[in-house]
Amino acid sequence: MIEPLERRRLVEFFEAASSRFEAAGAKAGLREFWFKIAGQPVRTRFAGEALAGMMTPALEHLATAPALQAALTVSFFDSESTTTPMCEPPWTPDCYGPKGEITGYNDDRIRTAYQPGIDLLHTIDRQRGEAIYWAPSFKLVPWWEMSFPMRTILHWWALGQPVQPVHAGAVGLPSGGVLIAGKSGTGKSTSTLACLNSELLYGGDDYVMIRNRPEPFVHSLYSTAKIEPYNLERFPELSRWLANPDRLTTEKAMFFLNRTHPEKLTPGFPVRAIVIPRVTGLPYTTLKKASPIQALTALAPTTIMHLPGASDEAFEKMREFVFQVPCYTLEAGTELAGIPEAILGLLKRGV
Amino acid sequence: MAESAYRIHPRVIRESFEDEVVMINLESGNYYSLNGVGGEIWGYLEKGAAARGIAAALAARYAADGEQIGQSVNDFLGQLLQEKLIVESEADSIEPLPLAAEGKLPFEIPQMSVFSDMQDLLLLDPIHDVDEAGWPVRPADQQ
Repeated sequence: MIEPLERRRLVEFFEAASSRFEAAGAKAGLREFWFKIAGQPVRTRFAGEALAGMMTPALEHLATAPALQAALTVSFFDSESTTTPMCEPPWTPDCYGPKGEITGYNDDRIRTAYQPGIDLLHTIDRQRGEAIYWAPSFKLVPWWEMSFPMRTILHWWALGQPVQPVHAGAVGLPSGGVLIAGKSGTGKSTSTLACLNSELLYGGDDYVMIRNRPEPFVHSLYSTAKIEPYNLERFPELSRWLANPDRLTTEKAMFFLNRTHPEKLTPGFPVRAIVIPRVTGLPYTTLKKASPIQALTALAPTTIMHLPGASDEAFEKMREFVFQVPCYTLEAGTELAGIPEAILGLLKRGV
Repeated sequence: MAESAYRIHPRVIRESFEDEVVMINLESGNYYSLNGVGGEIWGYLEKGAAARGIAAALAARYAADGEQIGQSVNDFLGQLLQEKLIVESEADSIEPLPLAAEGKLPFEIPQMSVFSDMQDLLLLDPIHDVDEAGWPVRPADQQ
């Protein structure tokens, strides 16, 4: 098939970046890990050791055996540890848009983003189901990337599918659970971590993948949990499991729950309700009925502002989701045990 | 001649349910919620109404004098225009039918909640320099 001239330019860049990955792998060695993401086999390939050690821990709970065919292959490399330079960017410095989208290098097939200051290239060829993740140096990769690796690539991969990564947490039982929606600082992580001491399973505290059909469902993406360091005193039993105890002046406190609470992790569950946490300062936790618009307000702006491109489609998927399940405000109390009690009560009475 | 209507700004995505509305301006990163009379006005705008028609529909439903309602509608439309949530359209407006009510309801000034806490995520880091290959590089103090 002959590609339109405009698209050829985009495909050529993707192919040039792919060939740099292959060169990096030839020099530094290739490692491969498979994960089942949103129910589909995803292959990750790493040139050298540096990025593999940073990107795989958050996904370990989704590890799976190699499949005959990958739904998506993501190839990671950095130039410093592999001593392999990236190809030259064919765009000019004025092409870097908000959220890193490269003007002129995004269409239905190819998506490209590079955010100056964060210094990560994400690019995907949706037709081939292949993506490249490149950093000039593994030393410059921001810490938060380890907590949600490939978030941007998964957002683009979700296009055309009834799934969408969203800025939300999720806890539940195998028979059903809740999506915990809210922008940063509203109590998502506190609410999800408070459930570790209950029979509720952990789907995520920051980014999860929602599915609209055949029923509202949430897939776990990351086993990480992140809280503000000042909040650690509320979870003293977790403190010894900190992944970054020496960096709390510049990073959130981070945990890999697959290493500390593997029995609490779940690949996903049907969603019976959306809860929107709100910190009240009162001791007790209560639930109040909320409207789908309140849930959409909690979920959509923050998700859309994190993820480059395809905002309309992402919004439409979130819109469809919030109208399928009842929504509640979770007036989260200071007595943490009340949070899982309230959620379990909701689930056990059939919502 | 009918007044010109408005249309939703092309960079705005929104959803409404009953009289609640959420809107996201993809250019600024700001998002907005409306309810009550504000949500009702948005519903009229989506149908293609203009200021006078909206004010007339509200006056049929709310217990307030026409001048107060008209001023409130104009002020509110001014805010929506300023926030680039709507733009003036060349299409003629329609005369909206007032929503049903049993007796006249107390009128509340239409309000819009503005949330600008996402803007930081859209701010671009200035490109200070590029390396030999052309990739942006961070200033030395950020490396």
